[in-house]
Amino acid sequence: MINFLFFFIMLTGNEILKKVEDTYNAPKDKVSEIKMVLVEQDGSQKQREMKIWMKGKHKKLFTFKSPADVKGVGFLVLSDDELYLYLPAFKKIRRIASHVKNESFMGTDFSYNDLAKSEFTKNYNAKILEENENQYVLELMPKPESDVDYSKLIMFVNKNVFLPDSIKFFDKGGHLFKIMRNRKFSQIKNYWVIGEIEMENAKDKHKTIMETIKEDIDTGLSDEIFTQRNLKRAE
Amino acid sequence: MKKFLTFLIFYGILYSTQIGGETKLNNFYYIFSGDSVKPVPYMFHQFKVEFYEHFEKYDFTGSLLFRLWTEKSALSFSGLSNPSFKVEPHLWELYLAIYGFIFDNLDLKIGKQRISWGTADKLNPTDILNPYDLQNPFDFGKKMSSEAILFDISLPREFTFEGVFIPKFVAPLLPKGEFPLFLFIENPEIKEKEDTIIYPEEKNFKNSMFAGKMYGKLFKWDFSLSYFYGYDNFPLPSNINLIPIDTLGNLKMETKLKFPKVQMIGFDFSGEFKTIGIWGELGYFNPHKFILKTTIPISSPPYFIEKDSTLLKEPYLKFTFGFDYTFKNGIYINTQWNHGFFFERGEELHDYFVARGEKKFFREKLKIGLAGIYEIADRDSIRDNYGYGIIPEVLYKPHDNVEISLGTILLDGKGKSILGLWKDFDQFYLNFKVSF
Repeated sequence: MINFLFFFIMLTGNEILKKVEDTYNAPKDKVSEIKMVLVEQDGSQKQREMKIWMKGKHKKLFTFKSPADVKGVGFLVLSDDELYLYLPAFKKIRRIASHVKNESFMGTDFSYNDLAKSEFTKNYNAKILEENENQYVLELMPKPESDVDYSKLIMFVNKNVFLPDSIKFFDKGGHLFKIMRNRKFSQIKNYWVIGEIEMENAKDKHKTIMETIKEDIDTGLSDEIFTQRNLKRAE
Repeated sequence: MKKFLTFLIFYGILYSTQIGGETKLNNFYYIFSGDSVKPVPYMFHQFKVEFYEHFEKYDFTGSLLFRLWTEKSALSFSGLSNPSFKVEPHLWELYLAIYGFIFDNLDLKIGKQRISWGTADKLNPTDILNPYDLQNPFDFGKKMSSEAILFDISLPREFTFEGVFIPKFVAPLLPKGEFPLFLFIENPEIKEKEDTIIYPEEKNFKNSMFAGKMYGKLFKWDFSLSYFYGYDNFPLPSNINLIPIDTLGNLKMETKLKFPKVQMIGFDFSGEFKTIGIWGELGYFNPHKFILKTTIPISSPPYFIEKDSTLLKEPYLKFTFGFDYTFKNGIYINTQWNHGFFFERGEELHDYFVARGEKKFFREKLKIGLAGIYEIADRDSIRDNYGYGIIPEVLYKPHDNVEISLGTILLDGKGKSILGLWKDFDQFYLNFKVSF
């Protein structure tokens, strides 16, 4: 019924983008156990295990459970320019300035920005390129004041769940840089969530697949979890 | 007590659900050692095993570290056929952390632990709670853990107060073999030397150390203000007796060394300006007056005069300021100005300008870095008192948990320069690390 009404309302690109963002950010909080698989061009694989706590749009805490050389490494995001890294070997928290945001996150195909941000409307203007039975195809152009490292994004929005089936990221030179594919959509407590995210580098064909093993939603996470004090003990 | 701690750590290793560790094979060799490849005297290998048990309201963590010295060069045939090993075990860490102790906002950590303070990169003037681990003297800033009680209380507006009590002073671990950590003025008449280090009495509350730190955030910048009362980690001579050993004027020097008491007020900050990371850390040190008593022979039959000199009295300031940035091409730079190296104090504080650049390739499998240091040992006479160092390094990670690093340390300097003092230790290294 809701989908039926949208046909008549004729959403604009920015409205669709807002709905995507709202779907992403709908849960008040989330705790996820993640398996990350890094796939080389020759098919060889490396595996990482993480736990992620999220609250609201900004607050995120990542801790690595494996492999052994990164076990205990923690990454805390409080806002766009408040990032902290905990290195258990030194028992030290280091503030990370936002110059690293477009760098690879721990050797994966995700940048710090890709993992930290879920605010498309703040950074992009969207227009509809195409619409078919299942998808809206949006072109996202960066707003002049945004600090994103991409020249544009092409987002293929799933009409049923209002989450992207895939996103193509273009570098500053206008070349295809990365492709993100989302799979295994499911509903937990009336929220649509993504079960598997694949990020592929279009140049060297290296891939990182993030699979959600376990997810708890709206458990009433305390703000105390997203503090430097807790970053040390989330080891 | 030692038996109980040993039991605890072995119990933890045997029964803990999470066990890990690492093996480090270090190979440091002189660059300029003639025809043979000769290891530096402090070279060691290392094995560390750690356990970690996490419960909802508490954690129990411990680690054992073994350092292994080969007394003969592993590269020489005689060394391989007749190796002579020496293993030193260290109880590296063993602590219990209780979260929400009595009150929800109070955490308590008891046991042997590393308490890391300061926002600067490795050169932290305010990080003075734990003793230094200088067994590899070029691994600047490496610290051991110490027995301590630490509590932290979260306060309103995201502020936290941390209190530390360290009941017993622990001296630093120094490099094996002959390594000139400090600058000594050599006297050709001194033919024999005998040093005795006098440690603070253990079971005396007056010799315990205390510290407190308040940290939080203002306008998206992180700040902390700290106070420390305790001992400086490096001893100073408190008594020197010069004793004639023959009629030619040759002398024996008997030295007693003590650890000076000091108070420190620390301040640090970190944040960013237009995406550039910026940090600073200052320590204002107020030492207790430290006097050196020297007994000098004046004629024969030996008559002596006693002379007192004040080695420490006036407060002094040590600091580090730095910034870092990643360029669009992925090159990362990190620069710091450090006033007062980790063992410097009083009026003898040198300036060190450190710059490091690095770039990662193949998804962080390969990292190439180059660091440079410039030292000003005396601002009034820079031409005669300066030092410099270049440290290029290649780090390769062929697989997860395996790391190979290859690099060189090249140092030179003049006059009072510390880097100049270490210039005979120009070396290359090839290290292997395996984590499990």
